Amino acid sequence: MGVFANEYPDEAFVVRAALGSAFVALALGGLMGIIQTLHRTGYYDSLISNADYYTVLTLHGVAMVLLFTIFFLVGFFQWAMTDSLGRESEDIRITKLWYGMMVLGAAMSAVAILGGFFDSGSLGDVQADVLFTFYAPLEAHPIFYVGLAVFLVGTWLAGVDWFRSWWAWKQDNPNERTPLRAFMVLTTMLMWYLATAGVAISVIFFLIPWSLGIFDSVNALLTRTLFWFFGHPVVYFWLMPVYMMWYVIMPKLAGGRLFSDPLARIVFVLFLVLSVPTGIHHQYVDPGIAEGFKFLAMTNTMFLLLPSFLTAFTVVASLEHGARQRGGEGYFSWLTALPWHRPAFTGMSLAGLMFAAAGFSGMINAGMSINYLVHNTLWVVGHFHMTVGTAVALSFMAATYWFLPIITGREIFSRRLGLAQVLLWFMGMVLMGNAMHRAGLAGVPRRTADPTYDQVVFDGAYGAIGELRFQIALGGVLLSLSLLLFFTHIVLSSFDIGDRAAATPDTIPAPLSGPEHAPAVLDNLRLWTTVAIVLILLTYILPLASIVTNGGWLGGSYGALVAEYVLPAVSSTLDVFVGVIG
Amino acid sequence: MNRPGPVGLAILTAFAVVAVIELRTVLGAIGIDVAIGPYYAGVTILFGVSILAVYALPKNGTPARA
Repeated sequence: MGVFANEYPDEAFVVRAALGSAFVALALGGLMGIIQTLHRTGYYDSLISNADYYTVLTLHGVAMVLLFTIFFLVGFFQWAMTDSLGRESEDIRITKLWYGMMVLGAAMSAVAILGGFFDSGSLGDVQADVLFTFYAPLEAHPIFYVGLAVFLVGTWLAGVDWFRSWWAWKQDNPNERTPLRAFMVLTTMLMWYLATAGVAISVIFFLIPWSLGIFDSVNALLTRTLFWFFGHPVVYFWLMPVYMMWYVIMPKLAGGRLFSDPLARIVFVLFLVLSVPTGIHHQYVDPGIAEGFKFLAMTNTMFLLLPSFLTAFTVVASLEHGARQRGGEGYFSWLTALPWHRPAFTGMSLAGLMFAAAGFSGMINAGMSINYLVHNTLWVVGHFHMTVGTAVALSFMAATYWFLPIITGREIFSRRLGLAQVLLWFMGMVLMGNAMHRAGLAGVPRRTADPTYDQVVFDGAYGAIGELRFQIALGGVLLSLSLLLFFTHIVLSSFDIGDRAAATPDTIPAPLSGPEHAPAVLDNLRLWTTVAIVLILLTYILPLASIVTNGGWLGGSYGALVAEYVLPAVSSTLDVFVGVIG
Repeated sequence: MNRPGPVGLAILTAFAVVAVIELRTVLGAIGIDVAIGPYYAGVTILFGVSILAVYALPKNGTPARA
């Protein structure tokens, strides 16, 4: 078996293109990140106005959590499918089509957001200062929503492409278990199809017609609920490829093998089943949703700790096995036998460590009563900078050091430079994330250009607010330096600089406990998807019905019209129907 | 105890830098306000001494560096 870049040149091209798009988004998002960090902490607030802050914030959010993450993961998944099934795309034109659609959609949305930097009227009111959550009542230019829809359809097509590959492989290998990486991709995409149903309905049926002026209003609570229907599981969409890296790449780098293939499959099935019926935990302070529905969402969310705990066990067990293969001994001394000199390994390990910390702050967010203490404060921002900003982003960057030779056929420029980059990111994010959590406890709000408006004074329960702001700013600067190092490294790795060897073929070793030990039912994707749908219906039908009944499909006057005319008509029809069958 | 390698030192330093910056906040929270100049001067000296101490440890080939 040769290097992936040479074995599958067409697929490797798409993977490189997807990663390139991800890095453009990362650069743009990173630039916006340092601008807003320095503006908000007061260290350099003359570059942008407070009004432009929200354009910067939207671009930072959309570029980082939607574009960077998803472009990276589709590239990574394309490699995982092609390499694990050992076959080319069924039709490379389809593969290029979905990538092209994603680029087109991303460009449309980015143009709409960038329009916010220009005076109203100069670009025909093109703007999208709606933050990355983009639900009503904030309204963007239609091009923003259409761009998102095109991007989304691109990801759906990618899933279809991968299912098609798997189906063709299955016909050729009817008695074989689906390879673990392919299984992980398929379960992730099934979860994605379920999760994106909410945001697709919101964008296509409400937000686009509303922004085009077809509707005068929309039901803000409905669009918010439909967003969070997607908004929480999207976290797992970012996280599941990271878990794949931790399960597949880290044990290999450690010199060992994955501890248990069946446990990894169970984790991905649990994510498929449990990811979606949790979104209402983002709406604990929404008065339009009854407490019982919120309690149900909280319970489902707490169940999601299980796959994370299983992952912690399996990954650490795999690393210990690898370390002992390298001569590691003792209860803890084996840790020193791990390949800390490799930026891919160190970066992913530190990302895992940060994810453990973020998991604990996530439990606070998910707890219905204690969430009120931190809701809409900087605590939440600290939490997701340690999850998506570190567990995901740092893992993606670290994995790039391992992944780049596979898809380019050339070794990376310098491991030392890579190591410095991941360590800088770790330091920056610990400082920034920790200070944001503590500032949130002091009541500092999120999504606010100037949190000290109305001369409000925050009293830090643990350290002074000025000190926390300093740590946030320092963390932001370190993160920017880390990004600069990363991009320098990528550029240097792209050219023939230095005496770098060609990449050698790389294979993923078989797990210690292989798929033959996994119950066959784990591969029954129809069953798990059905269970997921039932759970979603149980969790969402009643709250959505309640929201529509109380506020109408479109809120405002249209909702009253629906209540006055449509609902009685439906009710009468149902009565007649019941009379007929009775 | 053996001397950690350059990579180990780099990782330990990353943790130490964060801990040092956070420590001043913690000290402030329990009522011990240390001026920023003397604090970082003291920490830098302590850090230098620690590095020298690390290099005083025997260099022994462990499995990790073998």
